[in-house]
Amino acid sequence: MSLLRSRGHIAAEQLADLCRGKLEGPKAARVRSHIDSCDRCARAEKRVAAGLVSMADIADTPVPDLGWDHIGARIYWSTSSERRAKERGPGSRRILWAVGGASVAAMAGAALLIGGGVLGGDSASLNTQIAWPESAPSKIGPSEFVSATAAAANPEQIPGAIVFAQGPVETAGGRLKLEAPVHAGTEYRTGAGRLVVQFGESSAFRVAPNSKLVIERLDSKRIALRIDGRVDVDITRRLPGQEFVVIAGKHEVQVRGTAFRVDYNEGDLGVQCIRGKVVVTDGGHGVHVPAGQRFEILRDALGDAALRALPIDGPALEALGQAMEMPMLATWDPKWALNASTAFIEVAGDPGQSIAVDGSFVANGAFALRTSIGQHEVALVDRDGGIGQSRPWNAVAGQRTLASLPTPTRPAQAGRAERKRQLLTAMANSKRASQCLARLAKQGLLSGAYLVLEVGVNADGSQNHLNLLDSNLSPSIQSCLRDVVDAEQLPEGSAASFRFRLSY
Amino acid sequence: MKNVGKTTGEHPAIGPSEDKRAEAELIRECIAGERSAQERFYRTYCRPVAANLYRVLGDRNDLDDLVQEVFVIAFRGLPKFRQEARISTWLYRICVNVALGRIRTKTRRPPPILKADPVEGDVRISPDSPQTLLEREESKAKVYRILEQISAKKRIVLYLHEIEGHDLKEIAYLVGANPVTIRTRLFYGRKEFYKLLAEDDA
Repeated sequence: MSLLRSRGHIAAEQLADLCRGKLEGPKAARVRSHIDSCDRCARAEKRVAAGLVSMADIADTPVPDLGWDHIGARIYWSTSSERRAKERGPGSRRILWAVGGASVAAMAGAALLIGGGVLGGDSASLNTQIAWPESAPSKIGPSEFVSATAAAANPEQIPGAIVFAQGPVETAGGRLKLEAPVHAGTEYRTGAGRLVVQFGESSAFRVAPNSKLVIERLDSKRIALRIDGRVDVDITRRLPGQEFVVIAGKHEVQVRGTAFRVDYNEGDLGVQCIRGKVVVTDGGHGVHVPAGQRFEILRDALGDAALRALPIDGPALEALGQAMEMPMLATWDPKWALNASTAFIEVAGDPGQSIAVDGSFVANGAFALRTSIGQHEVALVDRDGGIGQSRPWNAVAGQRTLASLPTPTRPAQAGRAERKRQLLTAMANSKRASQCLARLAKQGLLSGAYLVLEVGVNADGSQNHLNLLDSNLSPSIQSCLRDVVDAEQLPEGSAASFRFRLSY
Repeated sequence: MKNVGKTTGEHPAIGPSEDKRAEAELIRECIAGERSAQERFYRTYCRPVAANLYRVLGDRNDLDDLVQEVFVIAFRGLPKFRQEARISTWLYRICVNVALGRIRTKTRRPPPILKADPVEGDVRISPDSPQTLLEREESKAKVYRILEQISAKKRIVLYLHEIEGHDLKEIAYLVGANPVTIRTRLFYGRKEFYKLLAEDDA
């Protein structure tokens, strides 16, 4: 193949080969000779040579400085989320709050004390009454229990964090501070609100409305929560040696399991277990409540030998399973500075609006959600559970992001149809358009005449673009009609682009 | 990771068996979900991945997002990684495909109005004068500007061959296409690119 093109100049890629020394012998000599006698090729060679130097520079470009830790955290966040989703199973949707569910039981003066537990037992075990294990605390009240456990040797404090809050939740010190650390001694009063506190990877508790919760202990030996009302607990991983104990009123109730709900109301106790196993005891008797079963005692009647756990029926179990879903940070590392790697997004919404964040339903109405820093999509959920148009919001460390919902936009198709109708009406009423077609109309040749236009209309009604695509009219009439369309000012509405056929 | 393609062969840069054993162990731990292993994996390869993406795209915008994307794809795909190639080669392949996707997306998106280049880390001291540096940067920008005028498929092949110096087989592996197809893309890509370069007056 000749190195020279038809016009007698060297192909640019051959110049590159020459500069790189890939052309040798007579070929190179011929090209070199041409360059010496051709200014154009000489200039081209210089440009190509300079380009090759730049390309070599590009190949040696050093690594840019990026926020490596931040990227690493985001990767871990992302992969952890996927892992968690897998663990939850394919059919499980991350519905975080089932708002409008069962009302919370009336609060009584009873208290429940929940601590960490070790029962990895078989969830399918029989729900028979059992004698309390020797190692379990026996016949001690809440205060005794707490003081006994306080003596445990150097338990490591477990960090906790509020990950979700909705409504007028208060602490003992007054208004709830979302970023405030969660530790032993913290008290929450939910009023009409709700609260989720995470205290480890995949471990959290949710305080239902009209409940009061005091964190008595939050360490590696025991997690102790005193609750008036309802608390849902979800623990995926426990430290070795941890126990879960619930004490309600004069009864001693031990709960061992991974996901359960406890309701207490004036001596009436209800325990529902979703995952793992729950054991309820009064010190002398114990009842195993495996996953998918519930256990209720009325007026301190646990000592009745006839008490047994009962299965939760299918629909109720499914509803409970959904209601037990809690928003949690996918990534959890006690060594992390949580407030540096996460931030709250405060979503403004009406009580009737179902709101999703990052494609998962979170709650109805306004709420605050702790998320990883970075961009998150906030969207409305429709009645069928479909996620609507989302709007991105950036969560920034150390700041709260106030997020509003995306403004519902009119579907583009409807906008186009309306604009088309407006333009057709305007053209039908246009005297100028009639004048353009007057001669044809006089001669009775108007029937069958057409004009195809492509029109873009801005939201303010002005025209963005206008193209004449096709017509069987003479160029002068086409031009006349085009000018008429061009002069039309439509009312304000949605921006739209459409093809438009004027037929006569 | 840039040197993955400096050796010839379908899967470039197969290292010593000892390294491969260490890599296999690292992969096994990552698949098992060991966080320390995942972190080690990330720390080992994050800079080469970022460098590769930066060189291919010539743009720092969204680079952290792209690095994240590469590693998320990698962690997701590790169980299926057959270890016929080195991790670095495999990651490089992911980089190429992420970059290809980015190039395609970028052509459909308006350019950012503002570009923020935060200064992090140590300031590099260069013996070149600011004027020389500026000229070199402008010259590199010109190369990227011309590359942007070429279709994504040809551009990536051109980049891998002309800038990174990979041969056709390596590019075929990295891009996931037949070497004959790569040769065709390269032929037309080179013609287009150097013609634009030779005619560029800017």
